[in-house]
Amino acid sequence: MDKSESEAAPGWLETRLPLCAVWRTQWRDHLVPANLTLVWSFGVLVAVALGVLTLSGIWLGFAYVPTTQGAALSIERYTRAVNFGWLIRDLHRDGATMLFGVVFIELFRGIYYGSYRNRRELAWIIEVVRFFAFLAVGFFGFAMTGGAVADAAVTIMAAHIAAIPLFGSALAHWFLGGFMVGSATAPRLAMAHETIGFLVLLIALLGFMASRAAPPANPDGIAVPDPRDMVPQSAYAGKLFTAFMIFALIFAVIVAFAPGLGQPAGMSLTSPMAMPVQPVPPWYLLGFHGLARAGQSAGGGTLLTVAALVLLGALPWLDQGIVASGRYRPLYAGFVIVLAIDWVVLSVAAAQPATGIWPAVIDIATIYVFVHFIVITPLVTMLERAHPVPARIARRTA
Amino acid sequence: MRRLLFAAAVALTALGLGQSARAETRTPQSFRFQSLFGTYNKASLQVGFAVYQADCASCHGLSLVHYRDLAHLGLSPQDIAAIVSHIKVQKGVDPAGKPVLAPAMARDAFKSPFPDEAAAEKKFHGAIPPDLSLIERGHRDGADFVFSLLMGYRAAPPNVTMPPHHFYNIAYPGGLIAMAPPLKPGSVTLADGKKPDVQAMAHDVAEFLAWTADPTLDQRKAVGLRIIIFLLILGALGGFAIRAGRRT
Repeated sequence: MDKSESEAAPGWLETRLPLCAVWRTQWRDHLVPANLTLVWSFGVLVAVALGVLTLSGIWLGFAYVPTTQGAALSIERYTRAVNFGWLIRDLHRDGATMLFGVVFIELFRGIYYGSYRNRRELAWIIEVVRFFAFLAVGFFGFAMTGGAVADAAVTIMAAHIAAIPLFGSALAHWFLGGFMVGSATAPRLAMAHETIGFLVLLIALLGFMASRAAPPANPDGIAVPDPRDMVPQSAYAGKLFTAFMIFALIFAVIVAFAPGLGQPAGMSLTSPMAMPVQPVPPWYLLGFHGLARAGQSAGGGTLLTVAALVLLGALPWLDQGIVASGRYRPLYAGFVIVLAIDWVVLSVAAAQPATGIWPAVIDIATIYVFVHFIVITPLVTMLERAHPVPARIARRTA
Repeated sequence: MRRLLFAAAVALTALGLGQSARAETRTPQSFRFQSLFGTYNKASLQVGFAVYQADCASCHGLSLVHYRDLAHLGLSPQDIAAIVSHIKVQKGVDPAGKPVLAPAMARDAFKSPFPDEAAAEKKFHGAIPPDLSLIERGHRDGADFVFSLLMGYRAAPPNVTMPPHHFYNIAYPGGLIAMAPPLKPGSVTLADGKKPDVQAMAHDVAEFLAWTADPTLDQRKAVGLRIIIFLLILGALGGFAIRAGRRT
């Protein structure tokens, strides 16, 4: 669009609903630092994944029957009897994998580069709340697919909810629609999945607003970049395209050659004879499954899971150093890498039966998560001698 | 950040490789569809369907499969019509309340071998033969499991006490299975008049049940490959366009 043309004479619609102005101010002329890397495109990828999930979810909703018998059967029939029904189901199921892949990397990006500094505390907290909402939607989506594995997962979750003091047991009763998984449960799971699923879109919008209000984060962690180091966001169109193509290719490979990757086979109708001994959730919930297992009891599991999310949200206060970016904090960066490995180890161990070394692995990995946030992060901030941060952006990428 | 992603990927791979294998006595088979671009072998599927009809269908249902789906095995509408014409299913009741039996149609689901689970339980001493539509999805490497199970019947070791109506099978978890050895040599005759041996029958019926569990595999791989090629071309064109745009 030509600048003079669009700004000279706003038309009838533009004077009443300034959509072009939003496009100009938020994209074309919006200034961002000139050193953003490929992982800074992940906010857009979250939006893409949410779009795919919302649309495919609506179409699956046409077919889904929220009853004890119908939950698994209706979607199974949809994948068989409707043209490309399998594609819509896998866009949804594997779309969740893509979303969480992007969200996990985005969260570690925030931790690594200290993106919660410089008036971005609230943006960070909203990102953590959004992450929690994603986890809830993911859990309800897994739970509403029916079958013995999902029912076992719902029963375990109800025990965790019931362990909340004061109103826990009432909440668990409301969650199940009775004292145990029954005919009232499936519609609740479906409604929770859909309601929170749409709520996430609102939370994401609030997070976008909060992150736009503060000075932009960047990989050098420069608090307020020099105006000469700022470029319009549209200069990153090429990078966004690259990120999108990588995302789409991985997505296509999973849908075509590994549908349901990392998700339990019990997520659909299977023979009751073939149920695994131990219910294992989808991969993106495994880390929290590990925390819950390390808690030893329903109450302990709830406590550890909530505590981990609260500590994640409290990072702006746990890490109060002057230097933000892991690029100039070698020690801190090393510990963040260890945390990422630790989370992977915790997730893998949580999928194993409670025999041999696995329970010990879960305990140690859980302890490290808390040690990282409570001990290492504040201590390293105090003790570490960070490299000097350049005043200007050293390496431009756009 | 790059180091971070790399480290996480390495950890994931190492742990994935180190995962413990569970102990079950399996006889691994090679099926074409198990390879990355592999599709079902239609000849094998047709034999597998014949084996199912001859040796499985009297006890096990295939509730998620419809007769029309047999077209995916390469059967013509005439073949399917010939198959369903021999199958009587209940179509409503007459004014006296008695069930009306009529020949099945292509659009009908596979006929259940039992009116209900209670009847199955009574006939089979309390063991209900499971529906086979998704049996292979419920097991790791389902086709290998079914093949190994069908070939896994052995004489019980002396230290095992066999309960009544049970058989010893090395591929079944626990070893005791209520299903008698189902495959009978000679129950299926191929188009060329030959009768496949039990091992060939087990292989083909394992492939047939892989198809019932995942009937869209062929289409999924074909469509997926086309999408991936499209994305690669789009990515290349987009990359050139962006470079050209930068130069001007």
